Amino acid sequence: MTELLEGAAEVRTNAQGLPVALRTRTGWRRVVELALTWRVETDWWRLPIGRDYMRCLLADGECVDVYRDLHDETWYWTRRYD
Amino acid sequence: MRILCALHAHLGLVTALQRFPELHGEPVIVGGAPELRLPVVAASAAARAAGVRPGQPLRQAQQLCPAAAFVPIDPAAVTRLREAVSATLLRLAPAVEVGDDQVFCDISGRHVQHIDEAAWAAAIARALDTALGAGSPAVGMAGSRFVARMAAMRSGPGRIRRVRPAEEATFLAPLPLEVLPIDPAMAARLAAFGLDCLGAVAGLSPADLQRQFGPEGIRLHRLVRGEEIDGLHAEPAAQTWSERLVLAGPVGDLEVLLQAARRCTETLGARLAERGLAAATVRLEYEVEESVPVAVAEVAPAPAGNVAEAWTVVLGLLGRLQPAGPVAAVRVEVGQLGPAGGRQTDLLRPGDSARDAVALAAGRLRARFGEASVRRPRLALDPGDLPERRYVWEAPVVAAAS
Amino acid sequence: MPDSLSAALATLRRRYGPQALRRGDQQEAAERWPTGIPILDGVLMPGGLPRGRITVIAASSSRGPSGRLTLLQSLAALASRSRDVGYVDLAGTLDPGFLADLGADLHACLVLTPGHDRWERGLAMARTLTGAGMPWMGVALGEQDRPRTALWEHALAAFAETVSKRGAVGVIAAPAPLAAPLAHASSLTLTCAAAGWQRAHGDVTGLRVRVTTTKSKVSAPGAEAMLLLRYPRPYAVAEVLGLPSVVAPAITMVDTELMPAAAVAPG
Repeated sequence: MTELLEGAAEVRTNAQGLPVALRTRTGWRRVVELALTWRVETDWWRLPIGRDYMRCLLADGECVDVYRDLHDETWYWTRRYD
Repeated sequence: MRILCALHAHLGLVTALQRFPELHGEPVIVGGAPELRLPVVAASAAARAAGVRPGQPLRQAQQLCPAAAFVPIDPAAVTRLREAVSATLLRLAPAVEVGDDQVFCDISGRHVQHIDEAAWAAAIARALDTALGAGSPAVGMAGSRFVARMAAMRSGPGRIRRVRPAEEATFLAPLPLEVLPIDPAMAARLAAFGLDCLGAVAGLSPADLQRQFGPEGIRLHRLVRGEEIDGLHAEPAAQTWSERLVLAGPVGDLEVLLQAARRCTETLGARLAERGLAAATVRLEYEVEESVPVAVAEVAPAPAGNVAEAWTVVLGLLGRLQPAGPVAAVRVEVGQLGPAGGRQTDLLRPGDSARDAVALAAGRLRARFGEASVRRPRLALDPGDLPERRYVWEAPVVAAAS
Repeated sequence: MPDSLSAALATLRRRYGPQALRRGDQQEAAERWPTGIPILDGVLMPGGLPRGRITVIAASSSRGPSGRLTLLQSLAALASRSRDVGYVDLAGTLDPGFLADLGADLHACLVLTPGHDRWERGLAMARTLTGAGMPWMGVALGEQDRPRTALWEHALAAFAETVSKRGAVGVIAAPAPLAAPLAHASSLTLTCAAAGWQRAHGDVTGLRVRVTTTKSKVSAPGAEAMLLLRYPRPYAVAEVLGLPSVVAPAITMVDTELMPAAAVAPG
């Protein structure tokens, strides 16, 4: 939880829409495990926000959080653990 | 506000006695030759004992004291002495006004090195005595300029008279109208009303005084009650000093440039320390051979008042300045000079001066690098579930000045 | 001692600060700021973090996590409970919410954001606040576009000098490989190597880190310990406060080990 990231993420997904690889600053890295997934839905009374968060363990040892925006299907960075 | 007033020998007389030490103890009249149609600027104690007073025509002074030595005033020497006195006192107080025969110092708050106001005042008096070498001054302390001066006049050489806060009006009440720094016509009208002391004037309502004298009546009302708000008329210090070192030959070696900058900084830093001043800005310039000079400047993290503090800033500048060619000369410039030891945050206690200084430094960084460069986070009151909404940023709060 | 050697020593001291050189058989006396975490104060840096010195928390590898940032933030959070703390965020990724979860008093924290990987500006800003009296200053260097050494080494020297002069605690979290000026300026270097994620119920709850004192001018170098850097649950401040957020595991953990740095995803 040490670094709060922002911006769009490049993600390759499988047939279920789950990430199988992420493009980090050092290149594409395979997702070896999805440690946790959770959904956040809020702001339904103004501009609704819906996000599927995923905590990914990558092949190079990194652990990162990304989320998929449920409205535009775009992936975004959330955190990098250090 | 608390103000100290110290009455001392006239700077013109002090410089005259420094120039002609053999005249110590003799009747000396400063102003010029007696045949000149000029007034007396200052007179020694022996001359005053004979009835000589500043402002009298020199010819009259000669008649009163035929044995007196008449000395012309040396304006350059007086200026140098005034600067030296100012530098000395600025080590002890944040604001200083040096007149011809009196100094005023701001002694609001507390000085970390002195246990109370009396000890602080004694230190100022000793420093003034040492700087002038003309005997101990008479010192007064009060909440306003006028009352402090009155207290000093009713003190004596080597003595300090303190008027405690809220006792100004009581102290002034028995004083005669002649002490008031007002138009003589106004004083005459007050006397015509049968008023014979400041207390009697203080008993009148401000509306009455305003009706009689207009806006001056309001000022008079404040004056006689010890509530005037005319503070110190401190002179601004010199704004910039610089030191330039011409290199033996154009060089590109950074180590040589570092040494040159160090020498310039040592000279300037020593001068700052000697004069009790500190620089808010520091500038480093390289004169590049066959090209325009390159320079970089910085607002110092805290005003630099000695070699070490100035060098810390110059060291930071050295890394930012890349000369395009061989350098012929190095110049270090310190600017926005102000009193060093008298910085209020350094003087006051109690109070979190370090935190105030940090907040002020943070303010300077924000002014230079943008509002977002220094911030304080705070947890949001209603964060919800999104991580980026858990906190908000705030500007660092600068504590109100005491 | 020959004059030329004396001059060279003087130059080094001027350039890298008074602590840059010492005799081989001497350890510098330095005041300490005890962290209150036994494994740190007792083993890795006896007495605590040195005051008036630069401490570097270095990553051992440029790949994967190291724990350097969490360790820096944990120390900053601890310090903020008793004093003002400055934190220079060169990557611009600090999460104040996480800092609060670590137990930080955010009111005592000033965050400096000099701009992405502006090391020189960040160090200059750190020096400014330290010079003004900030007693504890952490600097988190970014890992991406490392600027040229010549651009920031003077700023580092100036920061080190100010830390020394003010007796402040200066901690720099640096990426691998450790830049030479940082290695020189450091009085105490703790090198962090990740040893595996701490897991609970499938989730990642912390990072196990092997910390080695690879350089110390203020105590004997070579000390080594395994730390568990816990990631407290959000909003769990009360839970964290009673416990140190940095603990030494009592037993060897055998959870998920870090993967070898190969395995690039298919393109």
